[in-house]
Amino acid sequence: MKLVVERSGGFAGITRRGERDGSALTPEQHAALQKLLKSSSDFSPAPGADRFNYVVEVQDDNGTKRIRVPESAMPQVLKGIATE
Amino acid sequence: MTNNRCFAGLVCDCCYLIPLRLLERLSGSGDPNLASAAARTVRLTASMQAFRAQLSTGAPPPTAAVRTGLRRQVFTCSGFDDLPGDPARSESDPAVADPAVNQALDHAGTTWEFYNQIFKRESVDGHGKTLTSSVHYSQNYDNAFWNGQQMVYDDGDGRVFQNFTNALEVIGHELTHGVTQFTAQLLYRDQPGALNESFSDVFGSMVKQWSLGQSVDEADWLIGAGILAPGVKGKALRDMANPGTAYDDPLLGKDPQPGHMKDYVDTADDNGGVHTNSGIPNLAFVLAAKAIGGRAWDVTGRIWYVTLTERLTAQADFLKCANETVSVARDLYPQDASIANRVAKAWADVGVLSAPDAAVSAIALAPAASRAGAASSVAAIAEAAKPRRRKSKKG
Repeated sequence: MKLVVERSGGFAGITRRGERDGSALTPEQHAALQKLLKSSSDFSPAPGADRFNYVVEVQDDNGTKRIRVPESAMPQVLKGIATE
Repeated sequence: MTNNRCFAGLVCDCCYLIPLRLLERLSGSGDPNLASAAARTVRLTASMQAFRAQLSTGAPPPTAAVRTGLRRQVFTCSGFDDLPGDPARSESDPAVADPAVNQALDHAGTTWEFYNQIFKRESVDGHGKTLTSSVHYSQNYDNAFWNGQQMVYDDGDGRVFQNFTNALEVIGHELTHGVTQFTAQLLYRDQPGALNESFSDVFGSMVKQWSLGQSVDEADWLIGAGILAPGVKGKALRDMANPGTAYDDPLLGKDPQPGHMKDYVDTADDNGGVHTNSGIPNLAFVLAAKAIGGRAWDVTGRIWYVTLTERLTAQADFLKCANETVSVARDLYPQDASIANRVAKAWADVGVLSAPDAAVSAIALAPAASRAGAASSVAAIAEAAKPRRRKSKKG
């Protein structure tokens, strides 16, 4: 399994993208990812302007799952992958 | 046509069982029943979005009493994510040891003074709202934002960004998001979102020019000039006068802003490229301001201010904005048709109005005597006001 995290928006409007092999995820990151994938239909956009938006993409034998996550719903432990 | 997942939120693609873009395509379909139903759904969706946007502003009713005077407060988050954080300085307090706190307070004050002295506006909501800022938000967060109620600034990671409170135009930009929220309520995606971003850059830059007493030719038209870390290959985050040239760095990539409609970027990232396609209306403002001359806030800025606060609504696209600025120019300066002509030409130069549209404006705005023989001008104006076909969007 491979995890790709992309961050767009923010005041700068600069897109950053990083990826991590599933085997390299910490237990906390793995748990946060599973919870995120299960709850991916419940996101309200963060209010205001210049907020970050994330795309979380999981690639595995079942194919590719790609979800959009506003920063207010993005687990803290996964945010950093976009800027590594 | 929406499900109930996101009822209290703003607008996002994920919340529609049928994506809005598909509905828009269906509304142009050859099947009249399908087209009619899809068009009706698009209209309903648009009115619901506008209603939700209005609910979300927290704007005081127009009849509410206006508080006059400047009120500011700054909080510090000390690296945590909780807002607003701990009180650090308020209006009557002397300067403190923390420069970020003082910068946030001082730049908010300069922005308030600009809106108050130039446009007689009492704070972002027009009713004297206290300007609240939080600094030292989170860690290595690399951002400044408006959360619908207040401004929030991070220190930067030191590798790409320095402290976001360094730059006056950044604070003017964030506070202008507040002005937009309480006036035009431009939706934060696609073209209305790019206009929302552009108005923030336009007024952010003007606050800086006003504080420095600069003419349009002296202004640098840069956004975020003081916040890039040393070593980053770039002059700023955006260059309003030369979109796409602000930076070209191994880590950040190249500035992607277009300066013309032919280069409009279709993307689902960043709410439909709101920080990217804002380059087009940004350049239109700079071209108009340079053609009109003087100090940006005297004439061109006033046209943009009236357009934002009195003419635009949530769904406005670039064409609507262009036509409204020309109309406002005509209304504000009826004795000087050259002003509206220069605004129209600026929008033509970035491909939003076609060159004939701009010429039509010239005919319509010329003194009556020289308009004799231009009998078709009314029809031509109506033609110019028609929505232009835009590129289809990709998800």
